[in-house]
Amino acid sequence: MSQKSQKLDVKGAGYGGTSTAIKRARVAADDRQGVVTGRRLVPTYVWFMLPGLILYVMFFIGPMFDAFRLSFYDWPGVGTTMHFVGLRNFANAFGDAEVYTALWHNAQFFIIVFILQNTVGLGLALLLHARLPGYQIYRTILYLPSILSLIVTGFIWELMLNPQIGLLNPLLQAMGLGALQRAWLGDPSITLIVVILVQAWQWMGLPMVVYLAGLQSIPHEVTEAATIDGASRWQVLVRITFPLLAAPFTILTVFCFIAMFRVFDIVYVLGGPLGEPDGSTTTLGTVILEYAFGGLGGSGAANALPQMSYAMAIGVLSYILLGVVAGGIMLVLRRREISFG
Amino acid sequence: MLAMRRGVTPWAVLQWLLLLVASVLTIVPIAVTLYSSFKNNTDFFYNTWSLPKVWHFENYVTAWTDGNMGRYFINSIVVTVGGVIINLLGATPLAYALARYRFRLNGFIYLFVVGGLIAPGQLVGISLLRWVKTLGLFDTYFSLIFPYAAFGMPVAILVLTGFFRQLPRELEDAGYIDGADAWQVFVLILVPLIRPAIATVIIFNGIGIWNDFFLPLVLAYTPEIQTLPVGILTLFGAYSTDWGTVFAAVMIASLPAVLAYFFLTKQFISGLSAGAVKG
Repeated sequence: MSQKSQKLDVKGAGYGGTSTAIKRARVAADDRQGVVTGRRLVPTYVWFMLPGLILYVMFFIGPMFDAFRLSFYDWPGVGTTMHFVGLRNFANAFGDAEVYTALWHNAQFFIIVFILQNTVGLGLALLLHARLPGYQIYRTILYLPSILSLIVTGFIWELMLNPQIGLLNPLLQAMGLGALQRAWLGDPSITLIVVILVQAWQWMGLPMVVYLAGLQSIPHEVTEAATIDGASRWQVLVRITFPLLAAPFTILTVFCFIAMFRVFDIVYVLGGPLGEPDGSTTTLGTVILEYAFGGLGGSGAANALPQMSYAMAIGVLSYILLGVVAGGIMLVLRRREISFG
Repeated sequence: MLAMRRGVTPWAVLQWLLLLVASVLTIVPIAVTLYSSFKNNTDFFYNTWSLPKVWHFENYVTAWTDGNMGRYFINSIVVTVGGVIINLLGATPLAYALARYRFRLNGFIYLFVVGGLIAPGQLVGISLLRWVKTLGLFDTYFSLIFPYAAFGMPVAILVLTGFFRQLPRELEDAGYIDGADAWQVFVLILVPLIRPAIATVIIFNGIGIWNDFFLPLVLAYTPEIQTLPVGILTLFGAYSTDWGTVFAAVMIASLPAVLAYFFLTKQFISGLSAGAVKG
């Protein structure tokens, strides 16, 4: 019986603001909480936030600021000797050809994957959106690489491309295309492109499902109205559908940018820690790691000694660059978004 | 006209064939890797594309025992489960406070956490080595679990806060009137209602941790705590002449995630693109 009246009360609150009864109940709840937390010196929400914030600050923000701080020192990564060197690490990074080479490689990752996600990725989304027979099976298969780690992806493609066991060269041979055989992972002129394509193979599921979600959110009426007005299939696609995909385009561009400038795992598996062959596949990630730990196993690299502080300076610089460019991309692209929201 | 549209048009056939080609390009490398993991070296060199002449199941035994994949497998499970649980224990109440309580720093704290999405993971990673050594966590599972729990915070807050905001306030008021305190309302009433959002966070962070390579590479120096992605490379270093064992290890490392994906395809697809769709 009393429950019934409470329900009524609660409903009333929804319409006419919070009733006094509910306010009183909230205060009473806060008071009970206060007994536990020491007479409400600390509001309840602080206790809710504390564990999460401590975790986040201790194991994310803390080490990040530690890296910012150490990038002004000459700490090699081991021992306790360190001197404040001001901006020297940053100045050195600006003159480091290895950093520029790596940046250019990252840029190529971004350019190629960006083009592919807006052609292949978008195309697959459009094909799935047509809901042809069996499209759910296709979607499940096409998204599968996104579940795999890049290490696993790397080994899968090692099996395709490796000079000893690779399956692609024998296939080309069998098809009478023997002239196209290459040392896919051992030729400085093509390996970077091959590695980028492998990365794209693993990445493509994301743009596919995000564009698909975007397509599904476009009201039928809009495209139907255009069709009735005599627009061709192509006109509907270019004039109606694409502009309405501006929001997913923005977010996917930013995601792709951030991910491709952080790319590391796939290079490590297919090109090794030093971006073989001949450093043709180095990225910011491998260069930072190489400086941080000193050539990783010392395969005769130039940077045999660890230079942790220098590595951190490169990391900080690339972070600033990334943040600024990603923010800029976001601002510019957000302006051209239209929505039905 | 309508009947024509519904019928089989050349255009529909072409679209269907394009999907078929894309799916073949996706599935063939994976399928070939799967059956190649049962080959011995002779098969690798002489029957490149064909199925194994004899199925060498012992590749999996070698990878699991001699190749230490069993140990890496357990480590991956401990670190993934630990990271996901600790992340949720911290993130769920934090998201609730940010969604429901009004206070001056609310907007700042939200951006402070969600802004971590674009933070430099690799920079934090190499810095963490010194950090976990100082805290005395080096060479323990916690040197990976705590950082993973923290790294997962931005997406967790993004997803969970959005979900909490959609819940009607009346639910909490009903609880308060029945005499519950804030924690009871939160744990007994609200958490059960946001299970779909929690599932999204579990999938996103779970797959992220299971597949992560960089943190164990820079933080885990002994096989006792190293996880599968690093384990595969260690095994590859020792067994590089035994390709069957290498690919058995690759399969062992992917199987749990792939199986879970086939059972929960929809949740995985929406969960893994959560960051993109919510953002």
